[in-house]
Amino acid sequence: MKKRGLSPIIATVLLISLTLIIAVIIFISAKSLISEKLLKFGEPIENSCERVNFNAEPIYSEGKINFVNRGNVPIYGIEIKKKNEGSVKIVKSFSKTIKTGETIALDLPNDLSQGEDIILTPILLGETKDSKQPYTCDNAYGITTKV
Amino acid sequence: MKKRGLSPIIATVLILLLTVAAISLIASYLIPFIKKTLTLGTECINYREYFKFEDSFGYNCFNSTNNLHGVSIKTNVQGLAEKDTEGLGLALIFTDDLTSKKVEIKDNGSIEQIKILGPIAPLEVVKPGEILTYVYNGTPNLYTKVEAYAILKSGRICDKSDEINLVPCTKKLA
Repeated sequence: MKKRGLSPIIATVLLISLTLIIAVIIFISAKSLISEKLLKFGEPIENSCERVNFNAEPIYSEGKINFVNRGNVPIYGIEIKKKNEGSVKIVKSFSKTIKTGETIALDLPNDLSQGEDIILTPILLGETKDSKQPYTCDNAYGITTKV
Repeated sequence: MKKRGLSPIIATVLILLLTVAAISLIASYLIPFIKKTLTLGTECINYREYFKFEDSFGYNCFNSTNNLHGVSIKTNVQGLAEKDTEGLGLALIFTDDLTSKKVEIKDNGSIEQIKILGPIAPLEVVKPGEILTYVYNGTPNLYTKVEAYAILKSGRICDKSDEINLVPCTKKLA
């Protein structure tokens, strides 16, 4: 009897191709829907926050805060928060890179009074596949001090 | 006998063209539908535990004399970029054994029964890195539990972020 129809090899190749095409379509659609997490040094940026090591000393009379980056993670900026009874509120964000081992002085925001509690949290520069974006570390990785 | 009808090549080409046309037609309806369904199914993924109750201030409490309720809330950004946290709203659901009340907080919103504790004038949603204590006047009810939900820019309310049982206040909620 004369055999008709597709050979098993062609049928298998067609099935595998079809499966691959569908898998690629689903992967591309799903990838575009879920936002990418920020990374630093190839790992989640939260891990770098744990390794940040810096000192801060507000000097009210001079209207300055001195920062020293003592760790090996470059700090992209500093967020200054005012701590009140029942709240922690952002006062100002500085985008000023403090390289490892570097010391800089930033202006103390005008709306802070002497004796007030402030939290200084580091801002790191994270990266996604396409861009670099700032990420503010949790208050737990910041320094709480008085103005 | 003389063969009549379409040749196998033309028939195959016609079937292929028909199949491609049918797939294109179905795909034009199906792809937007699947995309919309997937968006609805995944847009809340990053905000599952976005709002968290913060207990360090001791303001997660109720005052039975004036029916004021306090809740301190912070955010849990988990590596989200700033653009992903802009324009979010906060829904608080106050419950007791019999009743519940939902309060939606949005930036520059105005709700008579809810205020922010301290010298922070306009009502606003707590931002990443901040902690705010909201004071809710639940008169005539007294609630013992609060749940927090994230409201997306689309207006969709995501699943519960966090919940807390309120205790009698030891501090003044004024």
